[in-house]
Amino acid sequence: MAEDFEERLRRYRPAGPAPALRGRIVQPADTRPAWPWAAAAAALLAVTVLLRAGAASLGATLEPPVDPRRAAVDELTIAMGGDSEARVLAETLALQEEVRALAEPAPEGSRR
Amino acid sequence: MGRLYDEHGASLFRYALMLLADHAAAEDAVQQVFAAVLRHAGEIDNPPHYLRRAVRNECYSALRKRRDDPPLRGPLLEPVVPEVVDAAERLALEAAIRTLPADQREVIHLHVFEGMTLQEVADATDESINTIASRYRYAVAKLRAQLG
Repeated sequence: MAEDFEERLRRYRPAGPAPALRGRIVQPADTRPAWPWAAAAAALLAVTVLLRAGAASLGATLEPPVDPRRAAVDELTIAMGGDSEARVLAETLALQEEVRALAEPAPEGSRR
Repeated sequence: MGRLYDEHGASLFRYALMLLADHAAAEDAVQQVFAAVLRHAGEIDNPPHYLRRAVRNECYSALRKRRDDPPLRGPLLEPVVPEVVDAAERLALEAAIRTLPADQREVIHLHVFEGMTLQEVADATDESINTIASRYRYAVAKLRAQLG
């Protein structure tokens, strides 16, 4: 009967997932911001400030950052997860910001 | 996300595995669904219900794209009591289950392995009770014919 057959089947159950599946699903969700683009946009602001602070540091009495671009990229990399993929993206975003800054008309009284 | 996976991941994978009869495809389906949950987290009222429905939809979508039966990668079944292992029986059951169409595998899974009544299976799959009962009868008949 069907019930006997069901008992036979119920000695088994579908196989469970490999432990690695949890890592595939949970780790990307946990290590990156839930809203990566919002975090990137906020970090871009930091990149812009640092890059322009570096360009406007002539005559500054305070000691300028040694490499403001590198610091901005490092900060952006950390914001986006800290792995190699995040660094590549951070470099790309910083480059895009540099290009954008070059394309914008210079503010009055400043020079490039 | 970790807690959500720990609560529901294994059962969702088992559901996907029975639908797709393929480990890699089942993993992909479950991963796709959890990725969607992450994207739409604020919009989902009932995550467990959403997850089950989404896995089902993802699996049937994959089945529609599939042309041939994929080679079975990984076991389809595991013994409930590990100490009581009849490898030959398990392999025979797996081979027989793989011959069923996906909708019959689904009914077997939900009714036999998840313990749903046929009415609950009908509700979960948006099918009539007559359709579900018919699929179940055909599935059992085919399994019996395969297994003797």
